[in-house]
Amino acid sequence: MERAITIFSQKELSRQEQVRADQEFFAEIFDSYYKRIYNYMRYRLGNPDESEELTSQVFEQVVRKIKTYRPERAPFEVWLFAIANHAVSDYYRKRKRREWFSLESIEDLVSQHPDPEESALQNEEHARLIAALSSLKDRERNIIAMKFTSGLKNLEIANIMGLSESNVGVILYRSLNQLRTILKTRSESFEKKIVLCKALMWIWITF
Amino acid sequence: MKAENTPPEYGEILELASTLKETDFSQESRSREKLRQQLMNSCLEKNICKESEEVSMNKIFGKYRLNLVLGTAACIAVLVFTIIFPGTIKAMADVTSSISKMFRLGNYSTVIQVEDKVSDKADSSQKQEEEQQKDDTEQTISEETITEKKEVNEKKKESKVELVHFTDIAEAQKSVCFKVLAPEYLPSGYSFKEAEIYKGSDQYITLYFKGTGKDIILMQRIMNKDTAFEFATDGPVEAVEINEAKGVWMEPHTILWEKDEVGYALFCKGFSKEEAVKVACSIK
Repeated sequence: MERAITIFSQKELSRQEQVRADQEFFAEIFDSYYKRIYNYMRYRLGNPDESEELTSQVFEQVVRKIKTYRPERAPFEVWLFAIANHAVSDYYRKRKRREWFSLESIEDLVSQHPDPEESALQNEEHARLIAALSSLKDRERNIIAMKFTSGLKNLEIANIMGLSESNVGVILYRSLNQLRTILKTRSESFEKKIVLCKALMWIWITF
Repeated sequence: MKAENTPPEYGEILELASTLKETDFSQESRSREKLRQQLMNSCLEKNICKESEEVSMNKIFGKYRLNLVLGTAACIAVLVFTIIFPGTIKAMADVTSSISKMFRLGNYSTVIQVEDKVSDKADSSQKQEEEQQKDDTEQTISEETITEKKEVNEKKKESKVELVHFTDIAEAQKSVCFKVLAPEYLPSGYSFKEAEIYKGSDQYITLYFKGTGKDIILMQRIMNKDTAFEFATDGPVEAVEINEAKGVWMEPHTILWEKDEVGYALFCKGFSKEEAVKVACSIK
Protein backbone atom coordinates (compact mmCIF):
# COMPACT_ATOMS: atom_id res chain seq x y z
CA MET A 1 0.00 0.00 0.00
CA GLU A 2 2.79 2.39 0.94
CA ARG A 3 4.55 1.57 -2.29
CA ALA A 4 1.35 2.24 -4.20
CA ILE A 5 0.98 5.61 -2.53
CA THR A 6 4.60 6.45 -3.31
CA ILE A 7 4.13 5.49 -6.93
CA PHE A 8 0.91 7.53 -7.07
CA SER A 9 2.67 10.51 -5.53
CA GLN A 10 5.47 10.22 -8.02
CA LYS A 11 2.94 10.11 -10.83
CA GLU A 12 1.19 13.19 -9.47
CA LEU A 13 4.51 14.96 -9.12
CA SER A 14 5.51 14.19 -12.66
CA ARG A 15 2.13 15.47 -13.86
CA GLN A 16 2.64 18.69 -11.92
CA GLU A 17 6.12 18.99 -13.31
CA GLN A 18 4.73 18.47 -16.79
CA VAL A 19 2.13 21.18 -16.25
CA ARG A 20 4.79 23.54 -14.89
CA ALA A 21 7.07 22.82 -17.84
CA ASP A 22 4.22 23.42 -20.28
CA GLN A 23 3.29 26.67 -18.57
CA GLU A 24 6.87 27.93 -18.61
CA PHE A 25 7.24 27.01 -22.24
CA PHE A 26 4.05 28.70 -23.38
CA ALA A 27 4.61 31.68 -21.10
CA GLU A 28 7.90 32.25 -22.89
CA ILE A 29 6.20 32.01 -26.25
CA PHE A 30 3.49 34.41 -25.11
CA ASP A 31 5.95 36.97 -23.75
CA SER A 32 8.08 36.79 -26.88
CA TYR A 33 5.33 37.04 -29.44
CA TYR A 34 2.33 38.75 -27.82
CA LYS A 35 3.32 42.22 -29.00
CA ARG A 36 3.85 41.10 -32.58
CA ILE A 37 0.64 39.09 -32.79
CA TYR A 38 -1.46 41.80 -31.16
CA ASN A 39 -0.04 44.47 -33.46
CA TYR A 40 -0.70 42.21 -36.43
CA MET A 41 -4.31 41.83 -35.35
CA ARG A 42 -4.73 45.57 -34.88
CA TYR A 43 -3.34 46.18 -38.36
CA ARG A 44 -5.74 43.60 -39.80
CA LEU A 45 -8.86 44.23 -37.78
CA GLY A 46 -8.50 47.71 -36.27
CA ASN A 47 -10.83 47.08 -33.36
CA PRO A 48 -8.89 46.49 -30.10
CA ASP A 49 -11.46 44.11 -28.56
CA GLU A 50 -11.58 41.90 -31.62
CA SER A 51 -7.80 42.05 -31.86
CA GLU A 52 -7.46 40.83 -28.28
CA GLU A 53 -9.95 38.05 -28.89
CA LEU A 54 -8.12 36.79 -31.96
CA THR A 55 -4.75 37.16 -30.27
CA SER A 56 -6.07 34.91 -27.51
CA GLN A 57 -7.29 32.43 -30.12
CA VAL A 58 -3.91 32.35 -31.81
CA PHE A 59 -2.11 31.41 -28.61
CA GLU A 60 -4.78 28.85 -27.73
CA GLN A 61 -4.18 27.26 -31.11
CA VAL A 62 -0.46 27.24 -30.48
CA VAL A 63 -1.09 25.26 -27.28
CA ARG A 64 -3.32 22.82 -29.15
CA LYS A 65 -1.17 22.43 -32.25
CA ILE A 66 2.36 22.71 -30.92
CA LYS A 67 2.93 19.02 -31.56
CA THR A 68 2.32 19.57 -35.28
CA TYR A 69 5.10 22.13 -35.57
CA ARG A 70 8.09 20.88 -37.61
CA PRO A 71 11.22 23.02 -37.21
CA GLU A 72 12.69 21.52 -40.36
CA ARG A 73 9.82 22.91 -42.42
CA ALA A 74 9.84 26.55 -41.34
CA PRO A 75 10.96 28.87 -38.52
CA PHE A 76 8.59 29.18 -35.60
CA GLU A 77 7.58 32.75 -36.52
CA VAL A 78 6.41 31.63 -39.95
CA TRP A 79 4.31 28.87 -38.41
CA LEU A 80 2.91 31.24 -35.82
CA PHE A 81 1.94 33.94 -38.28
CA ALA A 82 0.40 31.36 -40.60
CA ILE A 83 -1.89 30.49 -37.68
CA ALA A 84 -2.60 34.19 -37.14
CA ASN A 85 -3.35 34.67 -40.84
CA HIS A 86 -5.80 31.76 -40.83
CA ALA A 87 -7.41 33.02 -37.66
CA VAL A 88 -8.23 36.33 -39.33
CA SER A 89 -9.48 34.61 -42.48
CA ASP A 90 -11.75 32.39 -40.40
CA TYR A 91 -12.93 35.41 -38.47
CA TYR A 92 -13.92 37.26 -41.64
CA ARG A 93 -15.55 34.16 -43.02
CA LYS A 94 -17.69 33.86 -39.93
CA ARG A 95 -18.53 37.50 -39.74
CA LYS A 96 -19.15 37.81 -43.50
CA ARG A 97 -18.71 41.50 -43.46
CA ARG A 98 -16.02 44.05 -43.93
CA GLU A 99 -15.01 46.46 -41.18
CA TRP A 100 -15.52 50.09 -42.05
CA PHE A 101 -14.21 52.80 -39.87
CA SER A 102 -15.40 56.36 -39.89
CA LEU A 103 -13.31 59.16 -38.57
CA GLU A 104 -15.99 59.98 -36.00
CA SER A 105 -15.88 56.47 -34.51
CA ILE A 106 -12.11 56.70 -34.18
CA GLU A 107 -12.45 60.05 -32.44
CA ASP A 108 -15.02 58.54 -30.06
CA LEU A 109 -12.60 55.76 -29.30
CA VAL A 110 -9.92 58.27 -28.45
CA SER A 111 -12.22 60.20 -26.16
CA GLN A 112 -13.07 57.06 -24.12
CA HIS A 113 -9.58 56.92 -22.68
CA PRO A 114 -8.76 60.08 -20.71
CA ASP A 115 -4.98 59.60 -20.83
CA PRO A 116 -2.29 62.20 -20.31
CA GLU A 117 -1.73 64.43 -23.28
CA GLU A 118 1.25 62.52 -24.65
CA SER A 119 -0.50 59.18 -24.75
CA ALA A 120 -3.64 60.87 -26.08
CA LEU A 121 -1.64 62.21 -28.98
CA GLN A 122 -0.16 58.78 -29.53
CA ASN A 123 -3.62 57.23 -29.53
CA GLU A 124 -4.74 59.77 -32.08
CA GLU A 125 -1.86 58.83 -34.34
CA HIS A 126 -2.68 55.17 -33.93
CA ALA A 127 -6.27 55.86 -34.71
CA ARG A 128 -5.38 57.71 -37.88
CA LEU A 129 -3.11 54.88 -38.91
CA ILE A 130 -5.80 52.26 -38.33
CA ALA A 131 -8.31 54.29 -40.27
CA ALA A 132 -5.89 54.62 -43.17
CA LEU A 133 -5.14 50.91 -43.13
CA SER A 134 -8.84 50.12 -43.28
CA SER A 135 -8.96 51.86 -46.66
CA LEU A 136 -6.60 49.31 -48.17
CA LYS A 137 -7.68 46.02 -49.68
CA ASP A 138 -7.33 43.05 -47.38
CA ARG A 139 -4.35 41.56 -49.21
CA GLU A 140 -2.41 44.83 -49.08
CA ARG A 141 -3.36 45.33 -45.47
CA ASN A 142 -2.22 41.79 -44.66
CA ILE A 143 1.16 42.25 -46.32
CA ILE A 144 1.78 45.51 -44.49
CA ALA A 145 0.69 43.92 -41.22
CA MET A 146 3.00 40.94 -41.77
CA LYS A 147 5.91 43.08 -42.84
CA PHE A 148 5.84 45.56 -39.96
CA THR A 149 4.69 43.41 -37.07
CA SER A 150 6.06 39.91 -37.59
CA GLY A 151 9.65 40.63 -38.53
CA LEU A 152 9.33 38.10 -41.39
CA LYS A 153 11.24 38.45 -44.62
CA ASN A 154 9.45 38.96 -47.94
CA LEU A 155 10.11 35.36 -48.92
CA GLU A 156 8.55 34.04 -45.72
CA ILE A 157 5.54 36.32 -46.13
CA ALA A 158 5.23 35.08 -49.72
CA ASN A 159 5.19 31.45 -48.51
CA ILE A 160 2.42 32.14 -46.01
CA MET A 161 0.28 34.06 -48.47
CA GLY A 162 0.92 31.92 -51.51
CA LEU A 163 2.60 34.69 -53.51
CA SER A 164 6.00 35.12 -55.09
CA GLU A 165 8.69 37.05 -53.28
CA SER A 166 8.85 39.73 -55.97
CA ASN A 167 5.07 40.07 -55.88
CA VAL A 168 5.19 40.74 -52.16
CA GLY A 169 7.81 43.42 -52.69
CA VAL A 170 5.78 45.16 -55.39
CA ILE A 171 2.52 45.03 -53.43
CA LEU A 172 4.32 46.31 -50.35
CA TYR A 173 5.72 49.34 -52.14
CA ARG A 174 2.39 50.20 -53.79
CA SER A 175 0.52 49.75 -50.52
CA LEU A 176 2.91 52.01 -48.66
CA ASN A 177 2.53 54.60 -51.37
CA GLN A 178 -1.22 54.39 -51.15
CA LEU A 179 -1.12 54.56 -47.38
CA ARG A 180 1.09 57.60 -47.52
CA THR A 181 -1.38 59.35 -49.80
CA ILE A 182 -4.32 58.45 -47.57
CA LEU A 183 -2.59 59.61 -44.42
CA LYS A 184 -1.51 62.83 -46.05
CA THR A 185 -5.01 63.60 -47.28
CA ARG A 186 -6.65 62.74 -43.99
CA SER A 187 -4.02 64.56 -42.01
CA GLU A 188 -4.72 67.77 -43.87
CA SER A 189 -8.44 67.28 -43.36
CA PHE A 190 -8.00 66.47 -39.67
CA GLU A 191 -5.77 69.44 -39.05
CA LYS A 192 -8.37 71.67 -40.58
CA LYS A 193 -10.97 70.23 -38.19
CA ILE A 194 -8.65 70.74 -35.19
CA VAL A 195 -8.05 74.35 -36.16
CA LEU A 196 -11.79 74.89 -36.52
CA CYS A 197 -12.48 73.32 -33.11
CA LYS A 198 -9.82 75.42 -31.44
CA ALA A 199 -11.22 78.55 -33.04
CA LEU A 200 -14.74 77.75 -31.83
CA MET A 201 -13.49 77.13 -28.29
CA TRP A 202 -11.62 80.44 -28.26
CA ILE A 203 -14.73 82.23 -29.41
CA TRP A 204 -16.84 80.55 -26.73
CA ILE A 205 -14.32 81.32 -23.95
CA THR A 206 -13.88 84.91 -25.01
CA PHE A 207 -17.53 85.70 -25.37
CA MET B 1 22.72 61.04 -48.73
CA LYS B 2 19.83 61.53 -51.07
CA ALA B 3 20.35 61.37 -54.80
CA GLU B 4 19.16 64.44 -56.64
CA ASN B 5 16.78 62.52 -58.88
CA THR B 6 15.15 60.54 -56.03
CA PRO B 7 11.40 61.10 -56.04
CA PRO B 8 10.28 63.11 -53.00
CA GLU B 9 7.64 60.53 -52.09
CA TYR B 10 10.40 57.94 -51.63
CA GLY B 11 11.58 59.69 -48.49
CA GLU B 12 8.01 59.92 -47.23
CA ILE B 13 7.51 56.21 -47.85
CA LEU B 14 10.66 55.42 -45.87
CA GLU B 15 9.45 57.66 -43.09
CA LEU B 16 6.08 55.92 -43.11
CA ALA B 17 7.76 52.52 -43.01
CA SER B 18 9.77 53.63 -40.03
CA THR B 19 6.60 54.83 -38.30
CA LEU B 20 4.84 51.57 -38.99
CA LYS B 21 7.78 49.62 -37.61
CA GLU B 22 7.87 51.63 -34.41
CA THR B 23 4.12 51.64 -33.87
CA ASP B 24 3.17 49.48 -30.93
CA PHE B 25 -0.57 49.08 -30.32
CA SER B 26 0.04 46.59 -27.53
CA GLN B 27 0.80 49.41 -25.10
CA GLU B 28 -2.88 50.31 -25.25
CA SER B 29 -3.90 46.75 -24.49
CA ARG B 30 -5.16 46.20 -20.96
CA SER B 31 -5.78 42.48 -21.36
CA ARG B 32 -2.27 41.21 -21.73
CA GLU B 33 -2.06 39.73 -18.23
CA LYS B 34 -5.56 38.33 -18.50
CA LEU B 35 -4.71 36.61 -21.77
CA ARG B 36 -1.50 35.26 -20.26
CA GLN B 37 -3.41 33.76 -17.35
CA GLN B 38 -5.96 32.23 -19.72
CA LEU B 39 -3.14 30.59 -21.61
CA MET B 40 -1.69 29.12 -18.39
CA ASN B 41 -5.12 27.73 -17.55
CA SER B 42 -5.28 26.19 -21.03
CA CYS B 43 -2.03 24.37 -20.31
CA LEU B 44 -3.51 22.99 -17.11
CA GLU B 45 -6.71 21.90 -18.85
CA LYS B 46 -4.74 20.32 -21.65
CA ASN B 47 -2.83 18.21 -19.15
CA ILE B 48 -5.99 17.23 -17.27
CA CYS B 49 -7.66 16.19 -20.52
CA LYS B 50 -4.59 14.21 -21.49
CA GLU B 51 -4.59 12.43 -18.14
CA SER B 52 -8.32 11.67 -18.31
CA GLU B 53 -7.84 10.27 -21.77
CA GLU B 54 -5.01 8.06 -20.57
CA VAL B 55 -7.08 6.84 -17.61
CA SER B 56 -10.02 6.05 -19.88
CA MET B 57 -7.84 4.24 -22.36
CA ASN B 58 -6.25 2.23 -19.57
CA LYS B 59 -9.66 1.34 -18.19
CA ILE B 60 -10.90 0.20 -21.56
CA PHE B 61 -7.82 -1.56 -22.82
CA GLY B 62 -6.29 -2.53 -19.50
CA LYS B 63 -9.20 -4.81 -18.76
CA TYR B 64 -8.95 -6.53 -22.08
CA ARG B 65 -5.23 -6.06 -22.52
CA LEU B 66 -4.32 -9.73 -22.32
CA ASN B 67 -7.04 -10.71 -24.78
CA LEU B 68 -5.98 -7.91 -27.07
CA VAL B 69 -2.34 -8.93 -27.04
CA LEU B 70 -3.09 -12.61 -27.60
CA GLY B 71 -5.61 -11.85 -30.32
CA THR B 72 -3.20 -9.54 -32.13
CA ALA B 73 -0.40 -12.08 -31.92
CA ALA B 74 -2.68 -14.80 -33.27
CA CYS B 75 -3.78 -12.64 -36.20
CA ILE B 76 -0.21 -11.78 -37.07
CA ALA B 77 0.82 -15.43 -36.86
CA VAL B 78 -2.02 -16.53 -39.16
CA LEU B 79 -1.19 -13.79 -41.62
CA VAL B 80 2.50 -14.69 -41.72
CA PHE B 81 1.70 -18.38 -41.99
CA THR B 82 -0.72 -17.73 -44.85
CA ILE B 83 1.85 -15.75 -46.76
CA ILE B 84 4.57 -18.35 -46.32
CA PHE B 85 2.44 -21.47 -46.67
CA PRO B 86 -0.72 -20.68 -48.63
CA GLY B 87 -1.22 -24.32 -49.54
CA THR B 88 -1.07 -25.23 -45.89
CA ILE B 89 -3.98 -23.00 -45.09
CA LYS B 90 -5.94 -24.55 -47.93
CA ALA B 91 -5.19 -28.00 -46.58
CA MET B 92 -5.98 -26.91 -43.06
CA ALA B 93 -9.27 -25.50 -44.24
CA ASP B 94 -10.32 -28.96 -45.29
CA VAL B 95 -12.06 -30.27 -42.19
CA THR B 96 -11.51 -33.89 -43.16
CA SER B 97 -7.70 -33.56 -43.28
CA SER B 98 -4.94 -32.75 -40.85
CA ILE B 99 -1.31 -32.12 -41.65
CA SER B 100 0.97 -34.80 -40.32
CA LYS B 101 4.20 -33.82 -42.06
CA MET B 102 5.52 -30.88 -44.01
CA PHE B 103 8.62 -30.80 -46.18
CA ARG B 104 10.02 -27.54 -47.45
CA LEU B 105 12.22 -28.40 -50.41
CA GLY B 106 13.28 -24.85 -51.19
CA ASN B 107 12.02 -21.30 -51.36
CA TYR B 108 9.21 -22.17 -53.73
CA SER B 109 8.17 -25.79 -53.16
CA THR B 110 6.59 -27.58 -50.25
CA VAL B 111 5.23 -31.09 -49.84
CA ILE B 112 2.59 -31.81 -47.24
CA GLN B 113 1.45 -35.14 -46.01
CA VAL B 114 -2.05 -35.09 -44.68
CA GLU B 115 -4.05 -37.67 -42.81
CA ASP B 116 -7.54 -38.21 -44.14
CA LYS B 117 -9.60 -38.80 -40.97
CA VAL B 118 -12.59 -40.06 -42.90
CA SER B 119 -10.60 -42.75 -44.58
CA ASP B 120 -8.83 -43.91 -41.38
CA LYS B 121 -11.55 -46.42 -40.71
CA ALA B 122 -11.19 -47.91 -44.17
CA ASP B 123 -7.40 -48.21 -43.95
CA SER B 124 -7.26 -51.89 -43.22
CA SER B 125 -9.53 -52.89 -46.09
CA GLN B 126 -7.75 -50.49 -48.41
CA LYS B 127 -4.40 -52.11 -47.60
CA GLN B 128 -5.70 -55.48 -48.61
CA GLU B 129 -6.90 -54.06 -51.90
CA GLU B 130 -3.53 -52.47 -52.55
CA GLU B 131 -1.71 -55.72 -51.99
CA GLN B 132 -3.92 -57.48 -54.47
CA GLN B 133 -3.37 -54.73 -56.98
CA LYS B 134 0.35 -55.05 -56.61
CA ASP B 135 0.16 -58.70 -57.52
CA ASP B 136 -1.78 -57.87 -60.63
CA THR B 137 0.55 -55.04 -61.63
CA GLU B 138 3.15 -57.08 -63.41
CA GLN B 139 0.59 -58.96 -65.43
CA THR B 140 -1.19 -55.88 -66.67
CA ILE B 141 1.76 -53.50 -67.25
CA SER B 142 1.56 -53.54 -70.97
CA GLU B 143 -2.22 -53.12 -70.99
CA GLU B 144 -2.02 -50.18 -68.58
CA THR B 145 0.74 -48.56 -70.59
CA ILE B 146 -1.44 -48.64 -73.69
CA THR B 147 -4.45 -47.39 -71.75
CA GLU B 148 -2.54 -44.54 -70.11
CA LYS B 149 -1.10 -43.47 -73.40
CA LYS B 150 -4.58 -43.25 -74.81
CA GLU B 151 -5.73 -41.24 -71.80
CA VAL B 152 -2.74 -38.90 -71.98
CA ASN B 153 -3.29 -38.34 -75.68
CA GLU B 154 -6.95 -37.59 -75.09
CA LYS B 155 -6.10 -35.18 -72.30
CA LYS B 156 -3.57 -33.44 -74.48
CA LYS B 157 -6.17 -33.04 -77.19
CA GLU B 158 -8.65 -31.63 -74.68
CA SER B 159 -6.05 -29.35 -73.15
CA LYS B 160 -5.71 -25.97 -74.67
CA VAL B 161 -1.99 -25.93 -73.90
CA GLU B 162 0.08 -26.69 -76.94
CA LEU B 163 3.06 -28.93 -76.45
CA VAL B 164 6.26 -28.92 -78.42
CA HIS B 165 8.24 -32.13 -78.76
CA PHE B 166 11.94 -32.58 -79.25
CA THR B 167 13.84 -35.73 -80.02
CA ASP B 168 17.10 -34.16 -78.95
CA ILE B 169 17.83 -32.68 -75.51
CA ALA B 170 20.26 -30.17 -76.98
CA GLU B 171 17.50 -28.83 -79.23
CA ALA B 172 15.07 -28.67 -76.33
CA GLN B 173 17.67 -26.82 -74.23
CA LYS B 174 17.40 -23.84 -76.56
CA SER B 175 13.76 -23.38 -75.61
CA VAL B 176 14.10 -23.18 -71.83
CA CYS B 177 15.74 -20.65 -69.57
CA PHE B 178 17.65 -23.05 -67.32
CA LYS B 179 20.17 -25.84 -67.69
CA VAL B 180 18.40 -29.10 -68.59
CA LEU B 181 19.87 -32.14 -66.86
CA ALA B 182 19.40 -35.77 -67.78
CA PRO B 183 20.10 -38.86 -65.65
CA GLU B 184 23.42 -40.50 -66.24
CA TYR B 185 22.06 -43.74 -64.85
CA LEU B 186 18.96 -45.48 -66.17
CA PRO B 187 17.61 -48.93 -65.39
CA SER B 188 18.64 -51.56 -67.86
CA GLY B 189 16.87 -51.27 -71.20
CA TYR B 190 15.93 -47.61 -70.76
CA SER B 191 16.96 -44.74 -73.02
CA PHE B 192 15.96 -41.19 -73.89
CA LYS B 193 12.69 -41.00 -75.83
CA GLU B 194 11.68 -37.35 -76.18
CA ALA B 195 11.53 -33.94 -74.53
CA GLU B 196 8.42 -31.84 -74.21
CA ILE B 197 7.85 -28.20 -73.40
CA TYR B 198 4.79 -25.94 -73.23
CA LYS B 199 4.62 -23.66 -76.21
CA GLY B 200 5.17 -20.09 -75.18
CA SER B 201 6.82 -20.98 -71.86
CA ASP B 202 10.49 -21.43 -71.19
CA GLN B 203 10.10 -22.42 -67.56
CA TYR B 204 9.11 -26.11 -67.83
CA ILE B 205 10.46 -29.21 -69.57
CA THR B 206 9.58 -32.89 -69.35
CA LEU B 207 11.95 -35.68 -70.38
CA TYR B 208 10.61 -39.14 -71.24
CA PHE B 209 12.73 -42.28 -71.06
CA LYS B 210 11.32 -45.44 -72.62
CA GLY B 211 12.17 -48.96 -71.71
CA THR B 212 10.79 -52.37 -70.97
CA GLY B 213 8.31 -51.10 -68.45
CA LYS B 214 6.53 -47.83 -68.00
CA ASP B 215 8.15 -44.62 -69.08
CA ILE B 216 10.39 -42.88 -66.61
CA ILE B 217 9.34 -39.25 -66.58
CA LEU B 218 11.53 -36.40 -65.36
CA MET B 219 9.86 -33.00 -65.04
CA GLN B 220 12.02 -29.94 -64.51
CA ARG B 221 11.08 -26.32 -63.87
CA ILE B 222 12.85 -23.16 -62.95
CA MET B 223 11.74 -22.24 -59.43
CA ASN B 224 10.28 -18.79 -58.91
CA LYS B 225 7.08 -17.25 -57.63
CA ASP B 226 5.32 -18.13 -60.89
CA THR B 227 6.25 -21.78 -60.80
CA ALA B 228 6.04 -22.20 -57.03
CA PHE B 229 3.86 -25.01 -55.71
CA GLU B 230 2.68 -26.78 -52.60
CA PHE B 231 1.86 -30.46 -53.05
CA ALA B 232 -0.36 -32.22 -50.58
CA THR B 233 -0.86 -35.98 -50.47
CA ASP B 234 -2.45 -38.41 -48.10
CA GLY B 235 0.06 -41.08 -49.08
CA PRO B 236 3.27 -41.72 -47.17
CA VAL B 237 5.98 -39.12 -47.61
CA GLU B 238 9.57 -39.70 -46.63
CA ALA B 239 12.55 -37.37 -46.63
CA VAL B 240 15.46 -38.30 -48.90
CA GLU B 241 18.68 -36.59 -49.91
CA ILE B 242 19.46 -36.10 -53.60
CA ASN B 243 22.99 -34.83 -54.19
CA GLU B 244 22.98 -32.89 -50.88
CA ALA B 245 19.59 -31.39 -51.66
CA LYS B 246 16.41 -31.96 -49.65
CA GLY B 247 13.99 -34.26 -51.38
CA VAL B 248 10.97 -36.42 -50.67
CA TRP B 249 9.98 -39.88 -51.72
CA MET B 250 6.26 -40.18 -52.17
CA GLU B 251 4.78 -43.63 -52.44
CA PRO B 252 4.51 -45.40 -54.72
CA HIS B 253 7.00 -43.97 -57.28
CA THR B 254 7.70 -40.23 -57.06
CA ILE B 255 10.70 -38.22 -55.95
CA LEU B 256 10.62 -34.44 -55.66
CA TRP B 257 13.60 -32.22 -54.98
CA GLU B 258 15.01 -28.81 -55.69
CA LYS B 259 18.58 -27.89 -56.52
CA ASP B 260 20.25 -24.76 -57.84
CA GLU B 261 16.86 -23.04 -58.25
CA VAL B 262 15.52 -25.84 -60.45
CA GLY B 263 12.75 -28.15 -59.26
CA TYR B 264 12.73 -31.83 -60.26
CA ALA B 265 9.96 -34.42 -60.21
CA LEU B 266 10.91 -37.96 -61.10
CA PHE B 267 8.21 -40.54 -61.77
CA CYS B 268 9.52 -44.11 -61.79
CA LYS B 269 6.48 -46.32 -62.02
CA GLY B 270 7.23 -49.93 -61.40
CA PHE B 271 10.57 -49.26 -59.72
CA SER B 272 11.63 -49.40 -56.13
CA LYS B 273 12.54 -46.40 -54.04
CA GLU B 274 16.22 -47.35 -54.15
CA GLU B 275 16.24 -47.56 -57.93
CA ALA B 276 14.42 -44.23 -58.21
CA VAL B 277 16.86 -42.57 -55.84
CA LYS B 278 19.75 -43.96 -57.89
CA VAL B 279 18.31 -42.44 -61.04
CA ALA B 280 17.69 -39.13 -59.25
CA CYS B 281 21.20 -38.95 -57.85
CA SER B 282 22.68 -39.47 -61.32
CA ILE B 283 21.01 -36.23 -62.48
CA LYS B 284 23.83 -33.75 -62.12
